[in-house]
Amino acid sequence: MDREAELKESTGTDGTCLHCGLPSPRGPYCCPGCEAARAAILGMGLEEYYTRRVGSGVAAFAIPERDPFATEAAVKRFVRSAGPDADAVEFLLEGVTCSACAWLVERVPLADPRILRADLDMGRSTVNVMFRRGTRLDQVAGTFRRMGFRVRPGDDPEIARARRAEVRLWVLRTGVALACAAASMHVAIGLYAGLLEGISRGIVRELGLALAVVTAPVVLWCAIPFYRGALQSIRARRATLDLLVAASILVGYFTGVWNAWRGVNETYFDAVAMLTGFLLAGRLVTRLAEDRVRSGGEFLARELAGEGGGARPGDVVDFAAGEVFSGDGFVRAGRGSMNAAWLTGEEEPVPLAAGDKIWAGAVNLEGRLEVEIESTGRDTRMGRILSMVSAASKGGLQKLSERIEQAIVLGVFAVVALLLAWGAALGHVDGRRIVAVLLVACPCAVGLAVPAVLGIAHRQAARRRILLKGVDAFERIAQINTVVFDKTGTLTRAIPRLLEEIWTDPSARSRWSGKVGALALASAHLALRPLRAAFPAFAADPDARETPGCGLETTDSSGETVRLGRRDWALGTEASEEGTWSEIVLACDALEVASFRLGSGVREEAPVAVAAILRGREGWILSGDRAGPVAAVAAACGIQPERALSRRDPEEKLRFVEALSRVRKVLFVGDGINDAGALRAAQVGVGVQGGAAAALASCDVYLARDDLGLLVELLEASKRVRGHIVLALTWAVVWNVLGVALVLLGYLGPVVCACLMPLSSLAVVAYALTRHPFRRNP
Amino acid sequence: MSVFAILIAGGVFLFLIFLALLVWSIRNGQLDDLETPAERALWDDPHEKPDDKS
Repeated sequence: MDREAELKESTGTDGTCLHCGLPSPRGPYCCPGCEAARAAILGMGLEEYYTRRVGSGVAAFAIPERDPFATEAAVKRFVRSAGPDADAVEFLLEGVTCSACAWLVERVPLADPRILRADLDMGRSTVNVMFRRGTRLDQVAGTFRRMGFRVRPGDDPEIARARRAEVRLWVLRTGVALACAAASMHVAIGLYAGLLEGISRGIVRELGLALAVVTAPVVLWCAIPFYRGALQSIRARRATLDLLVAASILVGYFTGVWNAWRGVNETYFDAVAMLTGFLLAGRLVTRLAEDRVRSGGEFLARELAGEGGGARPGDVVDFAAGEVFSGDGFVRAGRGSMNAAWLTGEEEPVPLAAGDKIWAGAVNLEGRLEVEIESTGRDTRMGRILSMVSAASKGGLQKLSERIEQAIVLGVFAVVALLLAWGAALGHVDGRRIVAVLLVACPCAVGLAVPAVLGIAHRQAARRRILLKGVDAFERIAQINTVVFDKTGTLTRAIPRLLEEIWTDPSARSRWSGKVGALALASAHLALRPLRAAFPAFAADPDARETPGCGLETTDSSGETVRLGRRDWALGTEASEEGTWSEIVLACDALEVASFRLGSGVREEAPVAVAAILRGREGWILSGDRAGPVAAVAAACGIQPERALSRRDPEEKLRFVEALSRVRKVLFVGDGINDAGALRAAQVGVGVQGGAAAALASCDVYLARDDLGLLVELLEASKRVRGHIVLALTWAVVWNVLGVALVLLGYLGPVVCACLMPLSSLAVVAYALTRHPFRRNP
Repeated sequence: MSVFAILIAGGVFLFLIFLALLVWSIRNGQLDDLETPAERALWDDPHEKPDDKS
């Protein structure tokens, strides 16, 4: 194929995978997944993708799991109607790293006639898909999966619609307030000129009342959220910003009306309108940043733990290879293995024999198993862990900005109260001075600069595919002094890599490679996967017999016994209990032909990234894996051996993080359901790309790109964000104290204060807009 | 005085025009996603747009 050859040249075959660009010493593709993804993309005629993309950022191929979109409940929850013969769904897409990915996603409808439209929102990493009614949801998700993206459930449609309506209303309020402010300033210029040049009472009255009408929508409609907030804060007996804002708006406006009516040239309409508009804009920025990530992951995790196909405790159920256990129980008959990755975080199969416990949610990998079910649904271990996850809560943590806000608000009201008391004592209340205090103290820096700093930080983070839930995440991250890592999937890749192959006779490779590939294809064992990619074969060896936990055996055409598996087993010695899969041996009649060394798969970037993360912080590893591999990874990443804890189940992980959180500020990085509790319990939970749905639902930060270096950037940026916030708040405090002092001393009148207010706002916004917490360009 | 009346009326008229434009763009979803359209503008490709298809 001409086009294919041309593309090969353009993408280069210099030892990197044609699809994902990861190192691939054995051929054009690093794994069958990438080969399939490239075939799908080329098959749809979208080969331009490879020339468009920047870098090599395609997601590493996912480990197959039970399709969460195949259930009836998922369809009911996530699909909404979009016209007479179309439905729509929102997916959270992982692996969208640059413009090329966005291009590819939006071209899907050209390739798949069942999909009518795909609209990507890069900021939120979501795609809105419209598809023909009657198409199954898992098929729709499958089309995106085939292109190498990982598909997650997006928002609940009801919640998404309500949120969009709310944001749109807020935009309208902001727009109206700013438009009114602009219109009122046109008129107000006349009044300001009148202050200098002299103006008749009649004209002041006419212009002033006209202004009152122009700015009425602001006070009566746009500022409603502040009134609501003020009422809430009165009810809760807490001084919040809303209280001060509402007081400033109402006092400013109605004093203006009173003055205009009397023909006194002291109206504050333009200042009030501008204040409202600016503060609304600030809140909008915060709101948008807050909404970046929400997902229905929690729902799907529950669904998977579900009622289990109608099995009841006490039932004896047969499970074929590839089926998911529907309850907790034990094996009555049969031998095989299961993948209990959700529980341990490890993809390595757990061997099973009669009497062994099995867990709901684990996958039966080989052979038929007769299982007696002991518990189902919520009573299973998975059910209990999921309820534990939702029960674990974050410790109360008051935000820095909130505390300063409260101090400012209380201080201003104290000054106003003092002025009132002073006036009452003297028999003459100085209303002008009180209005001036309220206007000069209006907390624009807090209400505007902090949202602006956070909004920019969120946007920069999202460009790097770091998604933060909630605006206070930066403040919490900046305090972190302890980082706890999960091992598999976080520090290492879940699938091992082939590091080296050693042939006893180098010429034997060509003769044996087909056999190795055919044997590797015959097994679902994870350790054999890198061999499948390195030795492509057309079909699995039909004579292959698998010895669970040891390897594969077949008979050669010349009658010799060929074994591929663990060294001890392949060479006929006794299999030891702690034998590992780090070396696979090909043997012919118990004579070694070749050995393949597999890597633990420590991520290439991990050692450098971990060293940077742990600069000035304490590091731990918390893994469900055995001690050996955990120690090896700890050594590779420079974590002290006594802080590398192995064989921890999900409950222990949660308890450990909870205990550590009492004395340290803990950040936990993990990816599996087994980490979900710990992610929730830590001050900051960071989910990494490729993680389970429950992990996504319970983390605060989600790294949607497969790179631990993002965490380094995030930690550094958070410190800068905190610095910027502190500076902006200091500015606000200094401005307020100085302003109030000058007003009290009688140097500043209300009109000057009304003019200074926007100047102060402009200054802090200009400061905020020129800050860039993330340094490197994405 | 009539000059003020004209100026104010003109201002209110402009205000209403901008308000109408704002309402239209919000309803049209123009302000829902502020990032992707910037990227979309750079894709000049021979394929028909997905928009034209449905």
